[in-house]
Amino acid sequence: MASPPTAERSSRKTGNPISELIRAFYALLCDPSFAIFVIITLAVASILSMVIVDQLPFRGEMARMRFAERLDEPWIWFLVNVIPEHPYRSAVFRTLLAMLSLSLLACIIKRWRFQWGQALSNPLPNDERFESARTVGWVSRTAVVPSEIAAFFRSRLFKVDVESASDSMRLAATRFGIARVGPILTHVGFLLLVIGGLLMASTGSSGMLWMRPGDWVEIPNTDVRLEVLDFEIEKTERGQIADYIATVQLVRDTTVIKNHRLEVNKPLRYAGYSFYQASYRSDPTSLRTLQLVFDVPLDGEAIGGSDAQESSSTMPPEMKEMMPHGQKHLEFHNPQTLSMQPGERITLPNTSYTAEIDTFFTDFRMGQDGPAQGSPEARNPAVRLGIYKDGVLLGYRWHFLFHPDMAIGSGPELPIRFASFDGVMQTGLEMSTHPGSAWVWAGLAIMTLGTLMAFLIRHERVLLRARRRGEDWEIDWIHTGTGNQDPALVDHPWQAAVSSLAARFMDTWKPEQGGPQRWPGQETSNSGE
Amino acid sequence: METSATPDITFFTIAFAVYVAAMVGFLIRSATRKDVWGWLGVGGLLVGSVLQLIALGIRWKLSGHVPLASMHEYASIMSWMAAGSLAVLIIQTRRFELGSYVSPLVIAIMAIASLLPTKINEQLVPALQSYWLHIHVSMAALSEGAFAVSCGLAIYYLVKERKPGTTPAELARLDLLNRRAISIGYPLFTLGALFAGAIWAYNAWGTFWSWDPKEVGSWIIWLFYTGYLHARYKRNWQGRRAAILAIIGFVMIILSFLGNLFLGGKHAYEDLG
Repeated sequence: MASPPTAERSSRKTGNPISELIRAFYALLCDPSFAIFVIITLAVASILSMVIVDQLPFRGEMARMRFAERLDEPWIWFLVNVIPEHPYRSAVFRTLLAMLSLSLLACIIKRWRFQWGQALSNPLPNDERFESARTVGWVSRTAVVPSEIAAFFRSRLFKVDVESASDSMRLAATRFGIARVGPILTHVGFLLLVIGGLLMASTGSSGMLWMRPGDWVEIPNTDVRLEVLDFEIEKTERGQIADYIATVQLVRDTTVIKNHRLEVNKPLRYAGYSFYQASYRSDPTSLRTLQLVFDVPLDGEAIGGSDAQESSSTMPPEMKEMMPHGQKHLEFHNPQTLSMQPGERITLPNTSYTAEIDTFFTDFRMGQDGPAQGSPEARNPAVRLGIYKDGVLLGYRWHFLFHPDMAIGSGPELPIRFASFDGVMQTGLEMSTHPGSAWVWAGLAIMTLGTLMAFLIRHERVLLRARRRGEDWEIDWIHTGTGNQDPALVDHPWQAAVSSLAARFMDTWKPEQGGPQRWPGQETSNSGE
Repeated sequence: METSATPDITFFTIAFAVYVAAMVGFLIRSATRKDVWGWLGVGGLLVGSVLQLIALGIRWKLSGHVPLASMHEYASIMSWMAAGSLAVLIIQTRRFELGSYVSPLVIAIMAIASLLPTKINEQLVPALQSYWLHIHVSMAALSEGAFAVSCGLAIYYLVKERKPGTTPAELARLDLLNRRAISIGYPLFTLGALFAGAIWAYNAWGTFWSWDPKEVGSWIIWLFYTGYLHARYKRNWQGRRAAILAIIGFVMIILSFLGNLFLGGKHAYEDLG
């Protein structure tokens, strides 16, 4: 690009410093070196952010809470005040993204008109153009008929402009000029992506809903509610989880407006909200059914010794609580599976005992205040059964799913094993809003189009001049936008210096002496030959 | 299921051995200048590619899903792309010496694949049960295979540049081939690794982008190759500079790939046991 005259530049400088500053800033943003600098800085910032997230679990406000008593230590001060809690949402990172956006915008503004001009224009060449080192020149005996040459190019999808006289012609041919717009579209698309990403990060929301079948939640800002009808976990024969599916419906008043099977890759979208099947868990407060294996005694066989209170009356209370199950390592001779539900008291067959679920934990832990729920996960499921005889509570005993030979408690020692349970499963639905998603979709579409245009389509242009010299025709040819033939695959150096299209053209308008007299890199090639 | 004895691993191992034999062929061709060794190398690459395809096909059959769900499978596809591209490149250009520089990278990726767990996951986790798995992972692996070829070409360029008697035309040709390899890899990576991945993540996880370690790795790689293209076309960084960048880019790809082993995140589906 030609520089404006110095005098004009200086008058601009002195005349309006603000516009000069804006102009300088714009020039900086347009500079590819600046774009490369921002790209490198973003890459480095991304690496640092990844390291921070991976290596420093406590940072920012989290570090302030975690190390509240050590805030005066330099390292803790650094963690709290310098390291961002969310590096990718930090001001530094967003500033870099903003700089990249501005650079993209400036580049688009600067290049747009030029690229369109390149795509659409097809000016006829003047003589100076053929002084170029890229020119291939040869003499042909074959008569140059402009219409035939134009037809040669048109049959290959070139747009052709011709200027001809009786003893000369000039031709400009171009094809796939639209490819020139590809890089601009990638920049536009990427700009939209960044804007959409920043919008989503700034104004989007996300939250987890833990719901059981029958639960419902109102969708904010609407008169519609989301109801969970069913939740199931599909497992393979080997017990691997194949899928988890929540059957949900959208309801307005009493009218069902939509039914949907929420699966991991099949979200539900409504009124700007998206619902994802994100997770599931066993509701720690709920139990559906529980299966016990009970060794049914033969007629007349005594089990449970004397009643619990008497059987271990000589032991101190703390020992009684931790005493191992009396049936340890004893084989069950007549096992029978019993199913029971919370609140249901069942009779243990062939005995006068009844049992009832008192407490159920998915993750039994022994805390300072006795047994407690450790986590909602089924890490150590345990059930405390109340054992009754003739309607009188004899005591309680804990039974463990993963430790079938162990039971603790004060109740009678009965041959019971905890076999399995069905908890009430909750589906974890992520409800989120994506206010910038339209920008992102537009960016993805435009950038995809631009990438395909830029990399799959090649803009080619041929400039040709033919001049009559007696019986012969002097032909000059410039072909841009395409690679030449591989030197390893040709017999003569000139063949490697011309495109395959030029070689095809020479099939008709043949060079005298077997090859052109002039071609790119001719001297080097000749010396090599 | 422990798959050390399954047929797919047998085919994979044979393919590995055939690739090594192909590399030896290329090295002998470089030493003796006899093209027959080069053609044997090309044949080895083609045979190895077919064997690897068979291995992947068996794996597909045994697992019941497309073999793109583990790091072993990913590396296998990547090496297959690199081997296939190299064979096509040599057939097109008749430059057997390329094999001496690119085939060791194929071997290296195969070696990485063979060291990773080869266990077949018969059941895909629900998040992976999507047609986007085919698009996203295959395009990402293929693009990285193309970047591997560009890395090998770049190494060859740097070696060739120091060799007395190398003509500028030869170097320019190598530079052009390197550019073309990246011109294949970059759009595949952009559309496959980033865009298809983002769309899939939007459907499965509720967000286009979550700054997961693998996403950050891909983002950095994409930024790097974007910088490469800008440096090349806007700052005329060609030849040696472009070659060095291509090598650095592929090193970043390998680091990002292996990052799964120690960084975890949403893309860490592999159980290394």
